[in-house]
Amino acid sequence: MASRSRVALAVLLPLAVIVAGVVSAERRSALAPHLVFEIEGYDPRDLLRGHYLQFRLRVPEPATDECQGTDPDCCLCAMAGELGETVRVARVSCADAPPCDALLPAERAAIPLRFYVPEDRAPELERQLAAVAGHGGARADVAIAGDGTIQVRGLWLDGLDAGSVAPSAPGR
Amino acid sequence: MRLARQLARWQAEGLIDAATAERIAKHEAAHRNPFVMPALVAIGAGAIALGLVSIVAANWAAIPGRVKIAVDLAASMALAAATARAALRGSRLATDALATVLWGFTLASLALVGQVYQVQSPAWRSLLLWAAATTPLLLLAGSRPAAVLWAGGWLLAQAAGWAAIFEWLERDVGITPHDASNAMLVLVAAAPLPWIAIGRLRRLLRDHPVHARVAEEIGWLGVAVLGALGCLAWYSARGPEPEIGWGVLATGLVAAVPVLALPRWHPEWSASQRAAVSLAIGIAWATFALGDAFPRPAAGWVAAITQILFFAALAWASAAGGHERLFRSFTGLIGLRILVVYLEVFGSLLTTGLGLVAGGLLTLALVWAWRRSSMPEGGGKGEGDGVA
Repeated sequence: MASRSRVALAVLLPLAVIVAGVVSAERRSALAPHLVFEIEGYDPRDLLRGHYLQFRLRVPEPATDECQGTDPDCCLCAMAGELGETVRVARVSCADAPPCDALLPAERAAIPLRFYVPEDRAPELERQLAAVAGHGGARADVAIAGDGTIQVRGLWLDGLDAGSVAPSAPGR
Repeated sequence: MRLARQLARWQAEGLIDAATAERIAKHEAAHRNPFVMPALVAIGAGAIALGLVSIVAANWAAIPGRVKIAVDLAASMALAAATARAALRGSRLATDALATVLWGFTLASLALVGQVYQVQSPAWRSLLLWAAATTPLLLLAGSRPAAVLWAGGWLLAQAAGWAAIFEWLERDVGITPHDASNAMLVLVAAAPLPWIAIGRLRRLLRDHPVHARVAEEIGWLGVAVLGALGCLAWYSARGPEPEIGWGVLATGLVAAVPVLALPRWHPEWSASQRAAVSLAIGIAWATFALGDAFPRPAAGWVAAITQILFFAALAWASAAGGHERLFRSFTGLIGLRILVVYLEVFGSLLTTGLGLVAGGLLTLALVWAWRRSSMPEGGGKGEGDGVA
């Protein structure tokens, strides 16, 4: 028979990992500034994680442009916009960045993001995203952690909430 | 039931008496390998786990995200408590079933967290975390199916992690696609080695022999699959420029690791068994390396011959180690490969037909030779298939 400590470790470790994931996501969602980006592109489906919309952040024209977006040492210094406005960015060297609301490697901003949606609403939202993305009608509110991990707090299609962790985020 | 019928028949034919039959029945009952029940438990519990993942994937809109998380945490705790209770009471079957469900439930829960909070972390990170966090749990379950699931989780994490390394090498490190392909080749060639090394860990062998055995079997299976695939390099032509490059030499170093480590990993193996395994690895690597060494046309026949030699060396190793079932598998593979050669070499219906007939005869000859070699002394009849 297994010892008590071994059994405790075996059953508590998975729980600890799940709780740590929840706490870290809640913290990021609550503390990180609201950075609202326009978005573009779509492509759903994933077996493991269910249906999702896939899109890219549309990075606005940078206020300052000190480096190339393809340079691994180039970062986007993002500042949250006023209520209802999208984010303002500057392209700066990651090593020498000024204070920002969030610092994101420029290459990572081009990586497609996923937004999980209910199975029964996926086709409708997919069509909606295709119709409005690229015309300024689709926006995402993202939180960016210190290590560059992105969390999509909310998605708005033509001003309507497509499902948000924090519905109070400014979407329009 | 089958044993009881056989014992009754042997008794009726006067081969054994009633006392011997009873002793055999008792011995078999005491040494029975309980595989079917744990396997059924694993299938049932695995189906529940997969179902939970699917329910999470459906992302049911009727329940708010945080309520889903709360229900998930409560269910996880209940499952954990039930698993702990079963383990502390020493109920093996219940521990296996509950640990398997909790194992799948943990993956579903991590997926749920990613879904509810829309976290954009890469899949390999979640899979690695899941495989690591559930390892003590599946070590608690001692059955072979549980060990297979444990290894399956790590295999998934390994595959996802290495795909991420490949992407990282190209995107972030900025090495050329050619160098990245070479690096990936080396990573793939080295993939089975950690499994064999883990399977030979003394502590794992002592405390969790079933898990150790499964890990080592996966490692050797990987060696066999990669070796067989390595021979296939000759199916395509090699132009004036080498297509692979430094990866060939590096895979040679990787191939040398199991050859050099064999005496340490398996001091109990005979010299001929070790020699046969080393020969198989050597054949596979040399075929692969020579395929990229000089400009040449495509030569499928080289691939076929070396693959047959590779399987023959593995069959020899199996025979030298007394693993009759493995020996049969590899000789069967040789027969199949010969059949494929005939399909490849000949073009018209007539020649293909002749090739198939000749291949079939060769295969039957192999079966006959194998049957003869596995007959008991004195050439017994009937049951002479030498079941291990």
